[in-house]
Amino acid sequence: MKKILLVEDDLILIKMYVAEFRFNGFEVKTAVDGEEGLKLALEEHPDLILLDIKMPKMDGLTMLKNLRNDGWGKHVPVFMLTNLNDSKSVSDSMGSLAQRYFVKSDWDPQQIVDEAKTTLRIT
Amino acid sequence: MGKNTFRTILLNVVILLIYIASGKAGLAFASINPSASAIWPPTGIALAALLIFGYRVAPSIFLGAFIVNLTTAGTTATSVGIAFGNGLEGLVGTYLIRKFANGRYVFDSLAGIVKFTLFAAILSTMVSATIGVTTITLGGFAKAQEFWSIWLTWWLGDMGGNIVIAPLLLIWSRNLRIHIDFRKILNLFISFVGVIIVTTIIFQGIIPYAYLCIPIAVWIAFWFGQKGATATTIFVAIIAIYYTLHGLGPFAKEPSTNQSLLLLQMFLNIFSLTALTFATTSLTIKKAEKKLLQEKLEDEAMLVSIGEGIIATDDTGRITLVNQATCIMLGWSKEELIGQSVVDVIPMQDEKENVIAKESRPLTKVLKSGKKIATSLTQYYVSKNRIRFPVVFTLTPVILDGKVVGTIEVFRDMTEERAIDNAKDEFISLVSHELRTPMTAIRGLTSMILKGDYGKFGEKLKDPLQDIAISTERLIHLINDLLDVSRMQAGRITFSPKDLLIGKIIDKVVTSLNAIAQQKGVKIQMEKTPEILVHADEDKTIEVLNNLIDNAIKFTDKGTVSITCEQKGQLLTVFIIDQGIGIAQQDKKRLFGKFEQINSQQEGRPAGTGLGLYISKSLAIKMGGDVWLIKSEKGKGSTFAFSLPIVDES
Repeated sequence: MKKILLVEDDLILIKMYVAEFRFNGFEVKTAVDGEEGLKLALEEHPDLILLDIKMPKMDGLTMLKNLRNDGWGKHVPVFMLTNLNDSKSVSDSMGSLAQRYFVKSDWDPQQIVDEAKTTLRIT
Repeated sequence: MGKNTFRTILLNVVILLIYIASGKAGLAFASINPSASAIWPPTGIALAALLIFGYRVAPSIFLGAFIVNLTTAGTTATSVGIAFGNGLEGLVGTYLIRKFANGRYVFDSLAGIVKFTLFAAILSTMVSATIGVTTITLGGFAKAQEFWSIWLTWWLGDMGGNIVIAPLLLIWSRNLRIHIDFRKILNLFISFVGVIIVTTIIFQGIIPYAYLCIPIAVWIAFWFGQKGATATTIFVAIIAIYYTLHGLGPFAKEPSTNQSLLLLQMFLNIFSLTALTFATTSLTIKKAEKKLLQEKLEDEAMLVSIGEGIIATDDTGRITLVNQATCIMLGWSKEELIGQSVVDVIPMQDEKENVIAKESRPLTKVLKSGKKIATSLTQYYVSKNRIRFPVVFTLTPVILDGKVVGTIEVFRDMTEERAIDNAKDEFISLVSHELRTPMTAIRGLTSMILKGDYGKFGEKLKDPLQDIAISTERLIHLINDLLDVSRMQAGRITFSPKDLLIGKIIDKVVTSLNAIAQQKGVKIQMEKTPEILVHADEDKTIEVLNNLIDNAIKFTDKGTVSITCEQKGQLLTVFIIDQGIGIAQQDKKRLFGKFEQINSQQEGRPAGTGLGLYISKSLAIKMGGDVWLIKSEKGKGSTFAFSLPIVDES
């Protein structure tokens, strides 16, 4: 069973994504800010990280930069989830640190699950 | 009798009396012939009167000349002839001065003095001399062999009248007030006494060198201007004539009184013209200095009031001029900046606080190339107290005779504008995030319920849930479009143009919309697109094509949506042709407006946001192209066009 780490500060969205990923057979761990997310990522070594950007304590971009400094963290696939501006301007500023950038409101949870399965080569 | 007529008559009477008095005085000096005098003030009086008061005083000149001559020598007939000559002399001189030499303001320029001498002193006086001497010769009052000697006396006498008397009257008549600075009163007194003493010494014969008077003329002209020069001429003339008539002075040694007076007259002409020339030159220089000062003050006032910084440099990059705004922004005083090298006293940094080297400074480039630089990229200046602030500037070379002799820089502190831009960005981000987050939950959870993730639900709930999903979708699109419009209006949309094969982009969009088209039974037909490269932002191009083709599908119930391309000049145009419901004539104007929806829900079509075409057109224009409606007919379909610039192979 593949493990997903969801780092998201909105509780309703956490419930929604956790439900969808669990319905699709994933194990899901959650964190509500970048600081907790980074700690959990380095402890749990998930197969994929879904990372919100705008969060308290430590935002998603800072967490990702710190993650990429770690030997394991350098390689873990990350999907950035954002509702800020447009995904292109976010991806432009991030370079290639994350695998994908999604504007949350434009994607159904199932669509994100499908993208995760493609990335993790799950049929 | 009208007021004006009365004034004219009065004027003529006054001038008549003055003419007669001065004429009788002038003819008192006549020796070669009773009607010809080497000293003839009336000519100058007549010319001045005609220039100041106009041709309406001509009768007084004619009558005055007639009376003077009738009461001195000759018959009525000769007096009429002489009067005619004298009058005509005045009229001719006046006409020429008015037409070619600025009228009564003839002495306002050096050119005017030259023209006055030619037209009034030399030419017009020949008229009077010729007519007058001819009249008295024909009348038997002069011998034929004396014609030219009398003519010469007549001519020079009239010339003297114009050169000595007319300038005095014309200049003093403009403003009788004398502006004397009390500090200059001593100077005036000494000068006045000096004139009398020197002229007396010369014309008493003590030091009989007449041209020693000239320095006096220069002195007076310099200190007291045209009024002083003309008044001094009169004083010198009176003293000189007095002593010459008494057989004293440098001109009294001639065989006849007439010859002495003629030589004196020529001297007085030279004296008058010299004094006048110096005075006018001095006046011209003072006027020019005043004008320059005024312009300098105006420029300074303008510089002070301009909010942007202005720096002028010489060809070595040293500062020659700064305005107040520059001093305020940089914290340096004017005195601290003038003479300093710009690159030394005003450090420039880039975004990362690296100091920009002298060779890379725009000033250095402008001085070298002679080409203007206008930068929209923000650089930073560092002020005296080490505060850096963002600037945009325009740097223009000053070129003289093909060489760069300096530069002018106009710059602006962008701190406030940056803050406003940042505030706009923050606002857009905030709105974007706060509106979209709850929409994400609504959309996501609705789709999960409809999918059955939360178990079965009553059949009755299916439609309402689907309606919630559709409405949510609409709201999300509206939010996205509004954010796009906001970013566009704030100038915050970034474009990353690159060379794109237009055929591939169209294929991509058509592929993504094929499913929707097929559901409706609409066929998308693509003409083979030419292998043409366009220069555009890929995502924005896809967005525009998506909008146009999606619209075509949305408004077509059955039939085909065709896509063709055409290259024209430097643009490639994509045509989207549908066989849909078309657009009514009255709606075409509103097509590209904001929030304009045409033929939508009223005709059972999914409602858009009314921003799609507005956004598409704005994006296309920003990329150097356009979106427009080629044609449309209700019930027959529409053709839209989308153009983009072709890659310039050169």
